Order: sequence, then C-alpha cells, then structure tokens
Amino acid sequence: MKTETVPSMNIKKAKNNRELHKFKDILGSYLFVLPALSFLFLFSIVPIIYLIWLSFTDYSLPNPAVFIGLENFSRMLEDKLFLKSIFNTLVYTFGSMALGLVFALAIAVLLNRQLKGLRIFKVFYFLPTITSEVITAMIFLWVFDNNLGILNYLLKVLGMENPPAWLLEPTTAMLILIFIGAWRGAAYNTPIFLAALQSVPQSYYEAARLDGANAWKQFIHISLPSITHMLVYSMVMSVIGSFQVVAVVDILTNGGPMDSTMVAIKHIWQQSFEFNYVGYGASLSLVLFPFLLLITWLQLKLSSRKES
Amino acid sequence: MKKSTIMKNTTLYGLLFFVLLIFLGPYIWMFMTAVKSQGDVMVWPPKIFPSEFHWENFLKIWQETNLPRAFFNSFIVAVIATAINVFLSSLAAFAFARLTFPGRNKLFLMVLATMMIPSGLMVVPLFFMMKNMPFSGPNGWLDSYPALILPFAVTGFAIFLLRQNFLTVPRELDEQATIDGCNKFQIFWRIILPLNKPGLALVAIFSFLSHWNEYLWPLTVARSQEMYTIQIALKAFQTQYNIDWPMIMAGATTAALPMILLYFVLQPLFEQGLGGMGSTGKE
Repeated sequence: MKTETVPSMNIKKAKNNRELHKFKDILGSYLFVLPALSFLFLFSIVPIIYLIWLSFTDYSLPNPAVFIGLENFSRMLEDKLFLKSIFNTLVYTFGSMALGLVFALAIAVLLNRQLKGLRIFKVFYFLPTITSEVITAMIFLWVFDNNLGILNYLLKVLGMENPPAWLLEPTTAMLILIFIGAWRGAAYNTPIFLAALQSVPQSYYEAARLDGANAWKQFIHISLPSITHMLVYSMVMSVIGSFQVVAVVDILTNGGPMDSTMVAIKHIWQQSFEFNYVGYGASLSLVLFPFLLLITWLQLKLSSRKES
Repeated sequence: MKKSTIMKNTTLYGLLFFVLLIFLGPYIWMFMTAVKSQGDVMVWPPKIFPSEFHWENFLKIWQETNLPRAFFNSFIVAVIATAINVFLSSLAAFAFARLTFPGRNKLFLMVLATMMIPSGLMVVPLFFMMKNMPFSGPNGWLDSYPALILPFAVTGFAIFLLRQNFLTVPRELDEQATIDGCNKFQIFWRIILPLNKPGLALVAIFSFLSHWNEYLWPLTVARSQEMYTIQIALKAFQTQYNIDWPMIMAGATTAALPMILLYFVLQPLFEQGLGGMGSTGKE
C-alpha cells in the first residue's frame, strides 16, 4: 500500500529491481533441485564417465591404473566364461521373466473378482516382494536340499524313486534359479497387473457378454489389450532386474556346478574384486551397458509397433 | 445354476489355497526349521512341526553372532538414506512440478535417464570412487557409513513419483498462499508436503526396503565385520554354520521379521504402493 505513494521511483530503477527479483527467483529454484541433482550427478553420471576411463586401463590394486587402449576388449572375446555368463544370464532372464509374468497375470485374473476373504490371500501373496533375495535364496537352498530337503521328501512320497540332486546338476540348478526368479517376479507383478485389470471399465465386459463372448474371449479381446502397456513395462523392468541377478546365485550355487549358473554381474564382480582385474571388470560392465539399453529399447519399440 | 456357482467357488478357493501354499509355504518351513533342534531336522521322514519348540535358537543368534551389530548397521543405513531421499527428492520434485527456471526440462530428463541406469554395472566405478575419495584416509570411504548410505540414497524414481503426486495439487492453493504472503519454501513445507503424505510414505517405505534388502553394494564396500549389513552378515552366517539348518533359518527369520512386521502394520500403504509401482509405466 505504501509503495503506491512513491511516485518518484524512476522506470530504470523499477526495471533493475524486477531483474534482480527474477534473478533471485531463478537462484531460489535452483536451490530446490541442486541437492538432489548433485547426488544423482555424483553417483550416477560421474561413475559412468569413470567406468569408461577404467575400461581402457590395466588396473590391479595397489598399482595405479595404466592406459592400455582396447586390450581389455580383445581379451573379452577369448574369455569363454564371459560368453557363458552372458548366455546363462539370458537364459535366466527370459526364463524367469516369462514364467513370472504368466503366473502374475494368472494370479491377478484369479484375484480380480468379488469373493469372500480375497483380501487375506492378497496380503500373503505379496510377501516375497518385501523379502530380500538373500533370505529367499536361503529358504530355497533348504527346501531343495538333496538330502534333507522337504521337496525331495514330498517327491519320494509321491512315488519318485530317485529325485534329482537339484543344485548339484547344471540343468536343474539353472531351473531352480529360474523358479526362484519367477517366484519373486510373480509376487512383484501380481499387484501391478491387478491394479491394471481393475482399471478396465466394467461396461466393456458387459457389452462383450451381450455379444455372447465367453470368459476366455473376454480375457483375450478386452483384458489383455487393455493392459498391454503394463505388460511391456513389467517386461522391461523384469529384464533390467533379472539381468543383474547375483545375490540368489551367491547363496544358492556360487555360480556352479561347472559354471552353469555363473551370471554376468557375478563374473564382473569376481574379475574386479576377487581376481583384482579392475580394468577388465570395468570393460565388462561397459559392454553390458548398451546391451541392456538395447533390450529395453527393443521391447519398447516392438510394443509400440503392435499397438499402432 | 446354484450348484454350478458352488462348484466354481470351490475351484476358485482351491486355486487360491494352492497359490497361497506356493508363496507362504517357504516362510512356514523357514520358521518351523528355525525352532527345531539340530537332531530334529536330521530325522527321516521330516516332520513339519518340531518335537519341541527351541526358542533359544533366536537367543543364540542374538548372543553368539554379529547379527545384532549388522541389524544396527542396516537400520542406521536404511533410516538415514530414507531421510535423505524423502527430503531432497521432494524438494527437487517440488521445483520440477511448480517452479520455472532455465534448463528445467533437460534436468528432469536427466533425472528420468538415471532411472534406466543398471546399478549392478555401477558397482566397479563407484567402488573406486569411494576408495579414492578426497579428504579421507588411505582407504577413502571404504568400510564406512557414508559409502553404505550415500551412493544410492537419492533416486530418480523418488523424484519422478513425487513430482507426479505434487502435480495433482490444485495450483489455486499455491496462489492463495502466495497472496497470504508465503514464500516458495513455505508453500512447499506447509501446503505441498502435508497434502502428499501417502506419496511421501511410499517413497520412504521403498527407500527403506531397498536399503534393508540391498546385497551387492554393501558386499563390495563393507570390508570388516563391524560394517556388515544384515544381508552380508546372513551370507557370512551361511558359511559359518554350514548345514546347521535351524541356526541358519533362525538367522533368516530374524532378518526377515522387521520387513514383515512393517508390511503388516502398514498394509494399506503397501497395497496401494505395490499396485501403483506400475503406474509409472503408463506414460
């Protein structure tokens, strides 16, 4: 109110004032984002640059890093374990993703109805999501134990003479790994799919029923297309997550038997921190980086083509 | 008609119980093993219930192992990382949702991009950043709380999620507050934050959960037993007790319990959050 009574303030001063105010405004805005962004910059962007540099060096502690050009990358081509670890990771990723998502979808469909006591079931179904990989792996290590495990006992009761020593044979060890991945994946994705299913308007189903569509047809023609975007999202997230599996492997098989469950991140970790080939470990990480982004991009691409 | 409904419902409940067995069975088996004696797990055929409940297994875990210390470490790490994430991410999310400043969209794109970075591939360079941290001892930040807490404290996901939340608050409220003489921080603190408690709680829960359950990063930077987090201590435990299954399962139960309790206490929030996790994929 008082400022209105100051006629002597010239235009220039007012303009300066406004600019100062604007400058302060912008500065203030940056103060809001700066703390969080410095964290992200320091621990997400800087490591990538550092990773690129490390991957061109020969670095073994305690010696300093020495630039060696592309040597790490040519070494990779002869590293059979690296190729095997990639192959294993792909098998695990696609196996656990496919199984996990199919089960998640089936369970979500099962839960997407009015039924007494459904809530209780739902509560328990989501438990694996909040349990760590280490604990999960320990439980299943015990369940699948070939001598005293409960599973082999049940199999014997059911009449199987010689149940397999699950974790001691290459094929079954990978199967167990996939099973655990799917178990976690199903629990994680069920609520996501359920939420997606519940957002489909009931009128669609009513119209379909009037047209005489049975439950299966309704699922294929209404439910599935309505949640495609969610399926793709879950696929991408599963790939990114499963590709980095390591805790379950460490507890369950430690990469064995005969490297049949040696996965990419475990191989990188071993090279870097157990064998002290840091430069090589970095170059392995760097190679996987675009590979993962490529899978993500491909999935998004494929899904958008299907939709259009 | 009626009979077929009963048939259908029976099948449905049958399926529901079957799925329940698959998800819950392993936990029951873990607990039942945890309260058995070692002799009890060696018998054939295996018994579901222990012949006698050995609660002292949990006492043994608490007294004879370094699990309490690891528990404490995990708690400190998870709480501080969560506090940092909730506070700093909500500040940034407020700016991205409400303020205009040069480079805003580019910076937000950068935030989104960090969500795509696979953390497992960052472990090698981050380890050496920690080791070569300036103004610290010969081992840098290795084997310290800052290394366990800071690198994964702030997440792009939190900023993204909170921004989505903040955008739903009507702008009229801000304008009214401005007229009433609130500055930006006051608008953030008195209007935006109180109106978005569920979103903030969600970010807090998932921050806490991910730090409590994290394995690879603490495995890499926690060198001494004193700095082990709960997951690393459990793994060490497995080597130590080899096939003493009751002890291993008692350890696993102890480590799983805090999250399970939190899950049941905050059930509605979890339910909303678990389903909502996919909502980020819509756009």
